[in-house]
Amino acid sequence: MIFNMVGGGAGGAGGGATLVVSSPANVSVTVSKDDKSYTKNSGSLGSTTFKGLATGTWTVTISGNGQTATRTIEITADYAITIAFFSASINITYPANSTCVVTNSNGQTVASDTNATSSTKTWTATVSATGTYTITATATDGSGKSKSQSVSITADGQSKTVTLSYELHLFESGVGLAEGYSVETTGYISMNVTTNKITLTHTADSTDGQAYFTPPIDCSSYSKLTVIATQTEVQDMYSETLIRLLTTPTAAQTAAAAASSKLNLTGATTVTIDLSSIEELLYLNVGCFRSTDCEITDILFT
Amino acid sequence: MTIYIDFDYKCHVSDDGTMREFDVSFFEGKCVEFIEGYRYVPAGETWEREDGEMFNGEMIAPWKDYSRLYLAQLEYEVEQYKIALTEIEIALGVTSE
Repeated sequence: MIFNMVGGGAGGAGGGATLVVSSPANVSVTVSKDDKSYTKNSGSLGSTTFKGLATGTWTVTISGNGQTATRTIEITADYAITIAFFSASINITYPANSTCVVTNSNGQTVASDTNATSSTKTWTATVSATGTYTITATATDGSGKSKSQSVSITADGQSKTVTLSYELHLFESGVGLAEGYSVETTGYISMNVTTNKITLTHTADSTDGQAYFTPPIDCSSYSKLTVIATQTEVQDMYSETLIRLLTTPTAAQTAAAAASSKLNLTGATTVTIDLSSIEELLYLNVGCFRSTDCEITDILFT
Repeated sequence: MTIYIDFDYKCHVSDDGTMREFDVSFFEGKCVEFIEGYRYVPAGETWEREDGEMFNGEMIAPWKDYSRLYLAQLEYEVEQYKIALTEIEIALGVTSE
């Protein structure tokens, strides 16, 4: 006995589902549920159709030639949906030469965009329900680069902002300096660069020295800088090692910087700097002020 | 320079009674618009950005568009220069004309 079930009739209430029962030819076919029971003959083709069946568990019985067989089938004839006037927006900035897709918590794509330019692109995705949405940017150059971020929409009219960017691992322990970049120094420090670390050592007491990376970094492509470094020597309480983003390769200790962070007195420091409000080309500068030494093992722009 | 930070680590030049006071040399000589466009996270503290990214102190970074803050500071320094020049001219009894 084979069942086929199709959706209920059009027009809403009272439509029900259609059940097609395949069975031996010329037998009695009965479908029953609660106090309802319908019986038909399967005919020469052995196919019996019952229409208008309500949601629930139906019992199907065939009988003939002194034999009886019974099966049950779960029928779903009613569906429900909730719809309301709801609109929220996600303002998305994503990298050049990439596609961008917004998916809901079920993995369904609710919005998408393509950036075929060589600059970052900003667009607005509109969503029609609360929930968690994942925004994914994927490079179209075959490099496989991809970045995702999730936001939670909790109310009608809400607006969230997302900035996606592919990372720049400017220096990675075990790998070394990223291709196309160099690091130079000025002042009273010497530098040793290996694949594992960049070591800056002061060459005279009570002096300053700086290391800077070229070319400058396009900060509009990133939202976070992470530097792992260790201050290995300090002269006195006035000594400090600063990680800075500057409009020029080097600058005095008290000069204006776009952003700045200071290494801990001892032990490794994980410096993290928010770049989300910085769109400029800036130089990453490591300032060793008043004869500090340090080792840098990781520089990551994400 | 003395600055004040609110619950979101945003900098202010005056305290509204709820802020914490810090002496941060980074802001020496900076105008109000520049200072109040920055966020200062003290060493040992952590700030979470809206997207969930975490940032360790010490961190000094703008939360307003940096290009606008840079311009504001530039204009402020030009104005300070003009004021200083005028004071010098007055002291010397000369003018720039």
